[in-house]
Amino acid sequence: MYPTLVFIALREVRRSLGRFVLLTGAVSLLVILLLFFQAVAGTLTSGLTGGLESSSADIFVFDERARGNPFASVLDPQLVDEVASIDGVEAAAPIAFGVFSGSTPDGDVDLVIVGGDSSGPSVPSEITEGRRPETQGEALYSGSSFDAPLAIGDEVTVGALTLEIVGIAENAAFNVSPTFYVLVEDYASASQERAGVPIDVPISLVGVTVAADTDQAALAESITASLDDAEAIERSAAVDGLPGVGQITQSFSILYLLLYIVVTIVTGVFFLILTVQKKDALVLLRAVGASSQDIIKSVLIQVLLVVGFGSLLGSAVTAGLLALTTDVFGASLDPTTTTITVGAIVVLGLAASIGAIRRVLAIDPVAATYTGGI
Amino acid sequence: MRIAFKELLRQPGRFGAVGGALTLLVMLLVVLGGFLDGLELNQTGPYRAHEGRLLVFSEESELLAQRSRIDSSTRDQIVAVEGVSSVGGLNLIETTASNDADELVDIVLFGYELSTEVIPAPPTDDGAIIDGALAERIDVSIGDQLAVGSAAEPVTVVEIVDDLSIGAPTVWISLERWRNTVGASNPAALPPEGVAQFLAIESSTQPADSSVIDLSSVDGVQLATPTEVIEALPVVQQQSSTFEGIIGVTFIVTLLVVALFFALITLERVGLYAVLKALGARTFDLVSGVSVQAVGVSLVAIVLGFVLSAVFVGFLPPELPVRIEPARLVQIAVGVLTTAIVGSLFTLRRILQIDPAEAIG
Repeated sequence: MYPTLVFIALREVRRSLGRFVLLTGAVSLLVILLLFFQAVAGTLTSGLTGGLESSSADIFVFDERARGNPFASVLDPQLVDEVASIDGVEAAAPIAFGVFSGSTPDGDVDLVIVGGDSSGPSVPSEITEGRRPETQGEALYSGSSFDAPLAIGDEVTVGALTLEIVGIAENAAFNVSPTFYVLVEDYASASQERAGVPIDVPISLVGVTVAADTDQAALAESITASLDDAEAIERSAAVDGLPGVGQITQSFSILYLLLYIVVTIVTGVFFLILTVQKKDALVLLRAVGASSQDIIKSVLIQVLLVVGFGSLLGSAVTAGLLALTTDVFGASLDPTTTTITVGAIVVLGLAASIGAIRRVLAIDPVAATYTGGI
Repeated sequence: MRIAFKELLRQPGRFGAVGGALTLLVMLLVVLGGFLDGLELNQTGPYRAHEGRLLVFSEESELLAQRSRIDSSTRDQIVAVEGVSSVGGLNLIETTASNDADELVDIVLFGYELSTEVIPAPPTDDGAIIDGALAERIDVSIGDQLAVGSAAEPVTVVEIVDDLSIGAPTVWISLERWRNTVGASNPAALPPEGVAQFLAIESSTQPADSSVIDLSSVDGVQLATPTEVIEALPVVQQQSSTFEGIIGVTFIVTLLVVALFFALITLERVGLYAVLKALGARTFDLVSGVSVQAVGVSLVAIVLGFVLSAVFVGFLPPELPVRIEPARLVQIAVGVLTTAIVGSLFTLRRILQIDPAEAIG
């Protein structure tokens, strides 16, 4: 019976190609929107969180009043030694952030300078190319998806400070901006030049490496209790608490939800109307011996064709669009996310055909003996 | 056309499916438009509050406040330009503020010198003007105290002004107090004495006109209207083009959905249309009847969609940047009606093919 079912399903699609093409077009456009949003949201989120997420620090100590915002956090550099002396802390290092205007080989740009100690928990844990800065005037670079990438050997100037890129780290940017990890002395000199006076430059965070066999959560609590006006936050919690991340996640989640609902409703209603329209033919099929299951399977084959093909087409077009607009959005499709999304759309499409299935189940073969008018 | 209208009134259930789908699409359009307007308006409040003034940035800053620095000697030159009656400096910094209950919120702290139509004159002593969004978020009112920055500098709320957000709610204090506050919290972020990030200009003939004030004699500066500054913001440019593209795609989906459903409905009624044609109805009459039905269903979907969207947005967290603007609703309504009419015309080909002789079998 299966070859017959497939034959009938495909034959109907071929005879009513226009309708199925319209629906497939609508599904693929909605899939494009969904995947596009996911790609852009992913890029924005990683541009905000990459710096903290990729850090070699297990715990960050923030200014208590900073609300987990590294750029609003201001700490006394002497706090580093105080943190380092706490039981369970293997190493502590200063981390200082600032947004500066600089010049790169591609022109003027806002960039983030992160001053720290290359040998301590204040730099990315993984380096893609090159090495960490060892002397003043050197920088480890992590690019933003929205700016042209730089290479090892390129130079960046920030006021009187010139930095040579000696290493590159992926996905370690802050604030969706090109980020340069330098020695804290270079950060201090850039800050003092901007302030115009030789001020004592505060740091933003203290990065902490947890000693072996020490519970991270317990150590974070212990550090918070030991310090005045500072709080220790584990890395994952610090990433989740970054300003803007929650907003982006919530905003895009709402849009995903609406798009999933629209796809489901549009698919379900289309197949319901189609089933109602071919009721006479379905009654005849049932009267000559086709079971409800056979007809339902035929409907499901068509649903699979439409949402499956629409999803694949939408995915291909999205991948192409994102590739063409790399300079604008800096985003690309993540295979895992795409697979999950396409799978969800197919499942929702099949679930949406429940209306059509109920209509099929309600068909009584004896109705074939009735006559009807227009 | 009357038959089509009567069918719409007597058998509304037949159109329930397409109406439901359209209502959801209208909701999607309203939410997308709300995000676009919310993001844009939430990023530009301080600049829009300076309508009627002109703004001056350093030339290499590309009209971005965080890149701009104007020193006191440049400012003196600008003061001396013909047509300039007042010049005021503006500085801003991202920081935090808390109320008496220690509820902390991210803010942008502005130091300023000149009042505008929207922002009153800089408060004296420890007074501060706050953004309505801040007042709502941490429940503060006039007379309450806020602690600003990492040094918890106290300020007293003297006035609340709506729509002043720039990504985060804002607090406005005098430029001198701003320097003291930032100096206490984060001296590394303090510009040198006498340096402002950008300037606001009042001209002798308000509103200030950039064609009347000539700053060509002043080196290293760029004059712009608040609108020009807003348009130069990278976040506004990117957001506008992205969301408008997405809204355009959603309109195309709406068109496809309308075309699809009315194509299906037309197929159902081929026999009826054959009879009508046999009785003398023209193709134009039949097609316009379908269009009337598409417009009718769209109108209901628009009204329902707007109501449901307003309810939906009401449940969203207040920190999400969604703002429903009347102009956007009008744009969506016109767009949906237009796509409905165009979508209904997809039935034209099928109706043209109907042979009146089909009425007699």
